[in-house]
Amino acid sequence: MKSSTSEGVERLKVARDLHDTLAQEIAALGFTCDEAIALEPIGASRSSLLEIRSKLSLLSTTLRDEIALLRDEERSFVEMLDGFVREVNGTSGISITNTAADCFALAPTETVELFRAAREILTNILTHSGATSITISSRTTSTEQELAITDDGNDYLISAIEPTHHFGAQGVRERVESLGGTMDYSRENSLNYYRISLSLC
Amino acid sequence: MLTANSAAEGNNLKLLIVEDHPIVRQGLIRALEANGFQGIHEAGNCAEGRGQLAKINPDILITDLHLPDGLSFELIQWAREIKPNLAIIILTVENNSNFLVAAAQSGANALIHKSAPITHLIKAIELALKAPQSFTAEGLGEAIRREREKPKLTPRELEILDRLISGDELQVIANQLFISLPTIKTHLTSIYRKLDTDNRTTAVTRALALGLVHIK
Repeated sequence: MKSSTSEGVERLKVARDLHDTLAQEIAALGFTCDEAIALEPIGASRSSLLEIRSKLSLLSTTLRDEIALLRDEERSFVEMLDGFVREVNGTSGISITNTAADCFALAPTETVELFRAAREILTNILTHSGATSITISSRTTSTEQELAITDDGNDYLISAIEPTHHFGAQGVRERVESLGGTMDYSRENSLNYYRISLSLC
Repeated sequence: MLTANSAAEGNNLKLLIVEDHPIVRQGLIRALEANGFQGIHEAGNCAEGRGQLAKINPDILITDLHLPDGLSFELIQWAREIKPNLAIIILTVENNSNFLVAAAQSGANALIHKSAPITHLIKAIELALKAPQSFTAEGLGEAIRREREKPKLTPRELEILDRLISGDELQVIANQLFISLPTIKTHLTSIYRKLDTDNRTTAVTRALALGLVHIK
């Protein structure tokens, strides 16, 4: 996302502030959690501590991506997705297979929106579905480009009790629709399927 | 064969942490101690880090990248020169690929993100102790590829770009660099060509985005 020089300078200042404050605080919380995990090798609270640690790592990765976006770092959609997946693969314990190709012909601002939509889906899966594996793929037809995300977790989106508890799915839809596309979710053969489709017309 | 905590246990390894955020430093020390590390020393900036390195002669150096008195690359290079088998780990929240390549060239053994669990840091320490010439970091291959694709500006062109950020007139910049105005304009033409632009504003914005120059 390109910006004018004065706006760019302001964005860099915000990025620096986030880097110097919030990012450090989250890192410190993570280390405190590591300490608690080391001191609780077999206790009943260990699994909760590991879950908190995993969420802190995910939060930190998301914040780092947002800092990079504020800095106007030039990355394609696949580069951003690869970076996120690589970090999550290392810290979440969930196997993520990403074969998405750079087939999305989008302006820089649209690329950021698509990345945020995909990241929101992945974050929801990592946080709520209890999945052990996730696959990400893409395909291009004569009329559309599609990003598909599949996981073997529970049906958390369907079983959400309140409409407001749909874990950001509406936000994902709105982001994709702002690009002129659609986001579909389905549950088949005990798998969750998410499809982001962008028209080529 | 080293195990997860064997780098710390059963020996007298000394560890120095150079980190300017006290909350991170204290959290890291406690997490390392809970995993069996002892003899942990600390510093809050590069100058203190140099002093502590000379004083305590650590086996392991863990340093942040951005410190109040500058980037830690010079500290790392100096530490590597005086102790070739020192395990050096950069622990940062930085994600910029420029820094990843620079970290690999500085003599560090690993660049670990602060979001990673402490077990990742301990594994990096173990590897660094076993192979002091090694370097590991997530995304290194991608960073090298992006570095290769980056426009190659000469040191003089980078110097001029750096001064363009200040907003000074070209004549002022020429006077500062002791070169003529036509020479500055020749350099500018080359800068614009390499950055694929035809004006100063876009050149500065693009250079900032690529990490070629930084706002001070």
